[in-house]
Amino acid sequence: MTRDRPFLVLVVAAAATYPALSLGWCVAALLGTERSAWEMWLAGHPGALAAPVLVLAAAVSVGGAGRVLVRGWWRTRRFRRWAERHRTRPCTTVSAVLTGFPARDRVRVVATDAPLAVTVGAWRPVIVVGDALARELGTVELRAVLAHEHAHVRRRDPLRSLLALVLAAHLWFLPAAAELRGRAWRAQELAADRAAVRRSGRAALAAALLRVTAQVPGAAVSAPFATAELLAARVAQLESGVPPRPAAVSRRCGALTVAGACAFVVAVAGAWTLMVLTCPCW
Amino acid sequence: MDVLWRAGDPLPVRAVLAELNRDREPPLAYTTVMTVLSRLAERGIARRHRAGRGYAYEAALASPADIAVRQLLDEHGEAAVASFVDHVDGDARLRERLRRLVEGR
Repeated sequence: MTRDRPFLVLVVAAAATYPALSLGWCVAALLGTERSAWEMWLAGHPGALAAPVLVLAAAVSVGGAGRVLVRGWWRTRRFRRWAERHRTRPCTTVSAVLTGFPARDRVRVVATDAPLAVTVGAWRPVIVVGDALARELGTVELRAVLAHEHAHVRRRDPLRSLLALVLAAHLWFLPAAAELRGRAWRAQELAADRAAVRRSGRAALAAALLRVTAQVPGAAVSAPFATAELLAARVAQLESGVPPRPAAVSRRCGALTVAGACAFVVAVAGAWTLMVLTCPCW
Repeated sequence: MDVLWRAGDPLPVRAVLAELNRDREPPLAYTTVMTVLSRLAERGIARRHRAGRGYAYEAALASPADIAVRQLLDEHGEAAVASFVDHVDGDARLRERLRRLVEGR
């Protein structure tokens, strides 16, 4: 479970901001209804100034997270529709592999030359495999790829990915949240690889990775750094059997995160002071 | 993209423009075509080669279906998708290490 730590940290951090962000709304309501609060605002009390900052932060958080959620849902839907439209009958060797596969009703073989092997869908994930890739891989390698994807299905990784994306958008004022999202993604790929190794062996998964990396066209296309780093981590894990440690967070990212967290705490403290001083509830 | 697919070989911007403007009224501007081609190259749909002072472009993907898959995978970081491979060209050293693992060394 410790290997899912980046994801859990994201969940806890996002949950922790909720009371504070609601406090922003309470203080904004106080400013609107309580004369004493309004007078403090006019007098330039720091607590009164903290409230709009919190309200703004909350609006950006909720708006950003909502936007990411809707976009993620929409893109997932588009991908699944595309997969259903291009679904094709697998050839006999692929069918033979699928017959022995525990989640064969979740596999969609689609007609495409692109090296495609993905798990899609937050609620009911399906495994989408390109027919060209399935034919190109040998029986043993295809089993390893399917075992990797099956691990994603069982762990509900597509849902986690989407949640991590939404939570990172919610925590926009902490740059380390984006870094955590990257680590959560890396951790889930490495966990799926370990499951595939348990099921089909190290050599099979290594062979599948070797085939797939060779097959990807477009030498002119530079891979994003994150994916190159992930492949290196996957190879290192295959060699040693344990997931390698991720690179340390950059000093700049760390400093900005600390600054963001401090600004947030100061705003909360200010809003809380105003609340204590002026709220008629106590 | 149709022009690039038909041509097969890398085409300079000027040639793509001439082809597009053959039956077109009003004609497209050179800069429009140049911008579109460079965007296609940035997104990995076209490939760019240096040719003289400018660039020549060719199709990097074989069909509209490939482009659709490519776009879906590019967007997958923003969808509920976990992928076995991303668009990564395995670097030679990593591939050598994988080869050793396959051979059980």
